[in-house]
Amino acid sequence: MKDIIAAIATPRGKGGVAIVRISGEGSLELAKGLFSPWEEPKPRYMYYGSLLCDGKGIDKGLAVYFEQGRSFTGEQTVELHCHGGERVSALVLEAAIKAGARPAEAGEFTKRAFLNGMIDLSGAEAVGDMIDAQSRAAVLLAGQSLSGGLGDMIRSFQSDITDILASIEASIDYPDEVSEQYTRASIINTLKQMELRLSELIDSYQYGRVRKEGITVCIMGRPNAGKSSLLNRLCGRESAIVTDIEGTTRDLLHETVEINGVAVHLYDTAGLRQSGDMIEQMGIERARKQAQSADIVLYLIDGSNPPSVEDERELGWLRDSGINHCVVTNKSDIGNMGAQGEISISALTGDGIDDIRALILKCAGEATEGITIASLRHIHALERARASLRDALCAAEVMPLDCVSIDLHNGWEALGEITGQTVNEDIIDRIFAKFCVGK
Amino acid sequence: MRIYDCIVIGAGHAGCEAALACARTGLDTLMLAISADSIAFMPCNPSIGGTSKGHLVREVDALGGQMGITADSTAMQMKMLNTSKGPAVHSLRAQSDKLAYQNMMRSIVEGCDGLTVRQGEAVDIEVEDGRVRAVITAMGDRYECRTAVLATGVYMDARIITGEYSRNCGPNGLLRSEGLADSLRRLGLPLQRFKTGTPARLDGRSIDYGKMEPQYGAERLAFSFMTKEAPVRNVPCYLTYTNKETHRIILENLHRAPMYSGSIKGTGARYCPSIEDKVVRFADKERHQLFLEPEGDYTNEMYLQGLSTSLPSDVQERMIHTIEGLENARIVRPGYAIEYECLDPLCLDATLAVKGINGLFSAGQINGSSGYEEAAAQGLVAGLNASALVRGIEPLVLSRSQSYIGVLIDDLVTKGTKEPYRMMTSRAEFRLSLRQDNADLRLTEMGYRMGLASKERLDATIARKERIAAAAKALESCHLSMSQVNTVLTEPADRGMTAKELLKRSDVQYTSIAAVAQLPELDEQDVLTLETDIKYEGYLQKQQSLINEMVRLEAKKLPQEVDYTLIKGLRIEGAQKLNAIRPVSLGQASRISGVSPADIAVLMVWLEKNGENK
Repeated sequence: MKDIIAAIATPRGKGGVAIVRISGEGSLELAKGLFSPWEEPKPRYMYYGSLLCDGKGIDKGLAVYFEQGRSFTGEQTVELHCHGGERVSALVLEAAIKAGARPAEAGEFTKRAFLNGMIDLSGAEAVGDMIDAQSRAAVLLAGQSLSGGLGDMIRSFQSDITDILASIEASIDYPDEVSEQYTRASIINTLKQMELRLSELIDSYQYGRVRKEGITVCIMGRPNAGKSSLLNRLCGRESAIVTDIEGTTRDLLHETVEINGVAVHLYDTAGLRQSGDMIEQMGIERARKQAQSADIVLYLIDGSNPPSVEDERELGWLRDSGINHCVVTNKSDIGNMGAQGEISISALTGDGIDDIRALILKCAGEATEGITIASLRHIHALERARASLRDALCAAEVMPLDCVSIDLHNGWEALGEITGQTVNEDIIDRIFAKFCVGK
Repeated sequence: MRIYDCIVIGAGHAGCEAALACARTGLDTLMLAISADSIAFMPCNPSIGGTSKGHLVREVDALGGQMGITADSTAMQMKMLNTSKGPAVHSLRAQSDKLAYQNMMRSIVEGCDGLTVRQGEAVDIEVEDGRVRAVITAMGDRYECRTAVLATGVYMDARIITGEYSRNCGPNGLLRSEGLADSLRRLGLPLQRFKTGTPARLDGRSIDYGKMEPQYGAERLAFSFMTKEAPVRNVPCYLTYTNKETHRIILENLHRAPMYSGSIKGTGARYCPSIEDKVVRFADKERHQLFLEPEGDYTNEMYLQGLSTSLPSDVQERMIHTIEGLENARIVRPGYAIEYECLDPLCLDATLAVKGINGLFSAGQINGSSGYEEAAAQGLVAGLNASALVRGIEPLVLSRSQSYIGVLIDDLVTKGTKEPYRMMTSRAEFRLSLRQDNADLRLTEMGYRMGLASKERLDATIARKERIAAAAKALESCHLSMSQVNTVLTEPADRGMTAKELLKRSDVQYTSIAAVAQLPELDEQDVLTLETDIKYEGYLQKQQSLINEMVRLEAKKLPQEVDYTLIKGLRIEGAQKLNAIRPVSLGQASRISGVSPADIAVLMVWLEKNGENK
């Protein structure tokens, strides 16, 4: 059964080059009608020639062929590189469809790579993460998974579990030869160590998530505390309008900057005050909502004015809502009238801004050695695995060893969901549904 | 001319169960025995059951088989093994009087309506248009049949070996089967050569039992759910050990052991190794356990369990004399190894039918298994399925989540085996649910549906099920006050609770609660099943969710006609294995070695698009 898929692998819009990717057995043959000259091309060599549509040359470009087993998908693959116009790449794709390929579904190339055993499930997800990566840290993280780091680690956990299961089975099959007491003691020992390692991995999630998704910072404070100035200072350009007029910022303003390679999503918010202006009140509501989903709120106080009851009230709200926040005293260039901020800065001169950056980075948590977890799916599976191991640990003290092995099997299965060893079509579909076409 | 509904080739433990299953379900059955004297012969150990094998015997019994009843009637000792461990590994073992066992089985076979016994050596299977047609004997007799069950045991082209001595013959000097292996080869069936062995038998009068530890059994134990009066005899076995001197003699003479000198080519079992294998493989063990087991009332021969060997008889004698209590022991029969032809069981399906030859079934050691119990279990299934084919009813396929028999057969036909396959508790992944105490609850209804288990047996099972359910309900609705609870508990509780909650505690028994509360009266069997179900409820539930996942994959049926090499995305090795084994379901496919999880994912996606399920 021939099933050749094709899609434009580069982003929509204008660019230097656009790539049409064709994958499936017979791609090489199919490309004959799409590119000339194309007489027995060597695999993984670039050829220069004409891109054809209905037999007529429409563009000059490059073509490359990957043989089965040596391509991303694991199938015979041809890539056609044309000029990066939206129309010309669409024509090349059209020509491929006419020649017998069908348009690829979202994520289908990666799905095929997984199904052909070129990457495991965590690797496939890493492809998606790599594409979506917004910062250097996120790229490094995805690269780590793509190279199989996570998969290897999961497999090492599974192999430890298999070892324990084997020792249990030995003691069950040879009750006379193997001391059960010894087996139990060594199981408990191994499980304790595994639980520790698994917990470390789970704890790396905070760090990993932040590396992948970035840190969300919400700047709050009363009107004219200098919130917009701080935003502008942190992103290094005049993003927000700054005036002396209270209530200048009425809506949420969002900027993403990179600090030490970590993506930081900055939100400037409307100044907090009682206002009759309905639009301003809505802006304030949005500010509060944003604060609740932020990794940290920077609460700015204008240090050039005496401390106010309004600030006290807002800080009380932050505390009561359990929001991670830091009190920052601004306008240190003018002087301090007694505000007790944790950090003192001047958004105007840039004084103390490095302290703010360091504070934000702290939210990323401590870097852990080795593998970090960044996906919610992975963390759920790992937490279930850990719960099973904990059950096994309890059972290993008092219950027959058979019960221990049931918990261990559950743990193994949960881990297998990360790499795709525990096969479940729901998981596979859910993962690949998140991809865009052409990946 | 008479056409038999079924011909069973072989009269060992597989052959007997197969022939009885056929005849008892109404088939006109012929049993071909190589010697009518050796029906149900026990050429190796004088015991039935043991760890995990005891489960098989109980399952055979629950389905309406004969082995358990015969073992109960001829037992010299019954023992429940592993009672200090979890309930899943409790296993029953009978020390059998070998001759009594054999004689009883023979008289049951001979007395069975519709079952004809004929002494004869099958040498050829006639197949016409893909259907089995007739069996031909060495004397040239031709018996026509609708179905046939191969149950040749270790007899095909067998050779026994002791040291430098070897001889073409079956176990214990019996005739071997010649010609049949070639006939099977001509039919295109894959054969392999396996090896197994047996230890020496000693003259009981020459053993100093005073230096050994006697091992007794227990009372009120029986295999069969139909046995009313449990065996009462309790003849001891004796425990002794090998020592450094024994090992030294073995190692010094290793070059004379046929396995090491290269004169045996068959593959032996890892799990039932000869003493020379054990000494080489577990070089750091200073001693190995040995049991002396009585062969029967009719003889003073003692079986030397644990010392299976094919070393020359002079070496056997010397090493036995190093053992405590055996210093002056006289060998009656030296141990020997036996090599034989058997099928690669991958050529069978889950009903134990030979794929591609309609009506031909296969059971027992010819399928690469070892052990009387494994043989009997397969014999029963193969016989019932030959019968189902003749009667035009659905075959019996036992799943891994239902029975050890299901595990045994699934392992053989899905994974194949490269050495004699022995049943082990660890092979059953759902063992907490597959206990020896609940075999009847799991299987008797199926046995009845197949026409083998009697109405009497079914009624007994249903009654038992109802008794247990009623007691479970009573436990749940019985609320005990704190003072009632504390009369049962050794460590006092600070509150009242239901009787069920109380029974969940590890040190509480049903009977002790029944002493302070109104609970139905139950017999020991029922109490055991009920207590286990309640005490391990949480784990049984966890296991059930694993079972459900497996059942989900088993329910995804794979078409039998597809060429897997044409399915895109399957790795070449995976596709070839799938083509060779032709699994019936995705679940079975996932257990084939060489088929990876990625292959299964491919099959899932492919099934969604093209499968019959849609």
